[in-house]
Amino acid sequence: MTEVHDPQSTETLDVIQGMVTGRLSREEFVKRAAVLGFSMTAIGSMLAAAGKAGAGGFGAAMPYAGQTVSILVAAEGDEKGVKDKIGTIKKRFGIDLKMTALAVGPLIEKANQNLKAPTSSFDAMMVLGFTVSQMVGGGYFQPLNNYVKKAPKGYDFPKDFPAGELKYVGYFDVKKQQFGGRTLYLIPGLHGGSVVFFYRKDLLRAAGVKVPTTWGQYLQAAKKLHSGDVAGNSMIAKSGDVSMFLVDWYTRFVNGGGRLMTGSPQKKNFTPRLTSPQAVAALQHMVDCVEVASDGVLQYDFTASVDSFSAGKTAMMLMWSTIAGPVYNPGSSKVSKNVGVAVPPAGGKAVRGGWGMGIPKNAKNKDAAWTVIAYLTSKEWEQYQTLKYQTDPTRKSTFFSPALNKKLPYLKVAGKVFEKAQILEIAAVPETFEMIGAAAEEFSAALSGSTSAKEACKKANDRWITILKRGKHLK
Amino acid sequence: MAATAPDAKLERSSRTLFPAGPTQRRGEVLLLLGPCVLYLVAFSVYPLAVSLIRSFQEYDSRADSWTWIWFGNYQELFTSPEFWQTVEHTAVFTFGGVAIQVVLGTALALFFNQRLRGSAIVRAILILPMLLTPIVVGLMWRMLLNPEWGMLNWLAGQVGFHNVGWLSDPGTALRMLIVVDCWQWTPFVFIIVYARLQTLPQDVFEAAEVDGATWRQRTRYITLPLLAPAIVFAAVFRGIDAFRTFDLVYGLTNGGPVQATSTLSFEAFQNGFQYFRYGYASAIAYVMVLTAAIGITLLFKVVRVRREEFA
Repeated sequence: MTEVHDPQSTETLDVIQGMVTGRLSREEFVKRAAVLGFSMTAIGSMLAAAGKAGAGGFGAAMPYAGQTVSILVAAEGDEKGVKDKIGTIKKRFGIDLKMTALAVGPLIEKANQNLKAPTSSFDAMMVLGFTVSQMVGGGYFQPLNNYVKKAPKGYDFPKDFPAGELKYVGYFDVKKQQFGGRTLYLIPGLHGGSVVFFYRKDLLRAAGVKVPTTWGQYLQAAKKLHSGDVAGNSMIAKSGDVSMFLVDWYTRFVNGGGRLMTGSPQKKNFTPRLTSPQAVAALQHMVDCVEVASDGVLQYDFTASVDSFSAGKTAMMLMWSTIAGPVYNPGSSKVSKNVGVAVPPAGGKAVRGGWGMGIPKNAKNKDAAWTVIAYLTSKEWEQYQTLKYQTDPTRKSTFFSPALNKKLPYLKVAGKVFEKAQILEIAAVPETFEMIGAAAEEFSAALSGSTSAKEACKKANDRWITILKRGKHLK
Repeated sequence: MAATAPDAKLERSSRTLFPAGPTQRRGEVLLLLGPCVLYLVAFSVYPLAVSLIRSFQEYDSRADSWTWIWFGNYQELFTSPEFWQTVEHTAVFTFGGVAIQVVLGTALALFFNQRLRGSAIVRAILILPMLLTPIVVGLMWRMLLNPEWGMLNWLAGQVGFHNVGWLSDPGTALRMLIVVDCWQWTPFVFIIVYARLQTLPQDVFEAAEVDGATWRQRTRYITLPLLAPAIVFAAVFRGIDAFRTFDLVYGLTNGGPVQATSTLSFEAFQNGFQYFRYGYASAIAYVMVLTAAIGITLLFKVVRVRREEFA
């Protein structure tokens, strides 16, 4: 076949330039080149030369080249990995990525403002699981079902994500105001996580103590390990800290067979069970553990608890797995070689944590935003992020990667807990944070010895009833 | 006196530029006051009016909608035990803190007024805390009061008090908040009173000295009455500031433990920006505005009565 095109003509140059700069997609280039009379061999060679010969993967086309995508991410370590890859995103997709990283509180505030504005300043944003009902439930996010069909090769959706996490920070039924359903609004990421049990292998071995598998054993071990230099255990006990409720109290409660709520918000009979024997027992266990914790434990947030463990001053702790990764890092931990990890005692259950990433309905560059989301929730980025910054992944392939587990042995344990972690029952109502904060305030009274565990649970229960009635979830 | 030629020329030209007729005068007034009024309306009147309206409404964060509930927020506020606890904390913090600061600040001013050697350097060091932002002060003191490695616990340990939970014990946390506030703001009272001390007429003191008045008598009957306006100004200023304190609470205790240090401002912040209860938070803010307005009016009435008594 004779080539009929003139390589110097404006149309020819325009087509070639369009493909190289990413202005034209692979398909568009093929169509236009064929019209101009290019042979299939020439088209194939040019695609190969431009690195766009493959049908899938992230090396496909650059249809959004030159566009700017603004994203809002949590400043919980995710921002570091995103920042590292801004250049890669530009190189592969031609997209200029602008990132805003905020702590949880300001992020929620900023996200809410943007979702309700005529146009969002962010094309994609991270949504915390506990705020899904408020943000996604308000109908502010773009369904992603059609986007995910176009995901790059090897994206492995939904197979590579735990079903529980997809139900929590993926699918949502806006009509019924329930987690799950068929409409996908978020992709789990940029980090997930649950609660795991960390201990000092060397200390347990020296004291002849086995890794506790019941709460009774945990307390006994803490008592035995407690000394002038090392606290028997540690916890998040700072007044009003939501992680005190979620990590320390809820893990004890749920593994003790507790059930947080009865009824449902839809039926307006959503009733708290904070006065149940399991609720009081969980708090009493924490009160007992404070006796064999460090002197400053009542001011510990999760950072202080992890720092104390890393400094070698704590023998055992329950912790968000995504926060505690640095205890394995020799650069930040004195005990990196002696850290043991196990599922929480008495059942290995814990609360489901994690974030999802979605596109606001009022975003300007939705398609380009999807390209960025698909990359930042890919196996490639997640493995890079987990290895470099030790935040928890959301994908099974990362949690159970043999190569990663060699360097970060807690990963597969965290993965096991993550798979069966459960959605906090009150996450379905918008008042979640207020309720957790109220309970954590009352519980801290028991931890400081100002009141009994039973009384603190009763007060927390009463406050929950007031909040639930106000929110019309309980008559 | 007849106007000179240049004066007459100036008068003529100014008459042309600024005509004095009633309509023109109104125009001038509007022109001069306009920007100021606009500024006040945009940045004071409008936000106040909107927040007043919001205090009668309830916000649904999921639907992003407002519903009129009229006095619902106020009713909830006044029947909530947490609110009254918060009022109590705010009152203790404001009155307790300001009283200590006024006494200490005045005492320091009287002390430094003796012009001792090296007092200029000490005076300069004394006012340093005032230059720090309260959030930094909060974080700094949180470290100093850390039960494990804080300097204060180490010092307490030296005199036999071990493991004091300065900020984790509900009984001591509010007191510590007052102590830290006093550390930062006593210098403010000191500066105001000290400045006033420098302007007091010396002849009165000389006459008293000639009449054989002791230092104590001079202080009681001359210095303090003459300092009263400055002390009242400092107290009112500090009172308003302490009443709306937020950043120190946020940095030092975050309202805890068990809401033991939650003040009205902190309660408004928590409800508004953490729980998205904007209506309820506006109601708290309005209670604060009204309380402050009533408090200041009463205070100035008392001060005026006292001034008349002195006169």
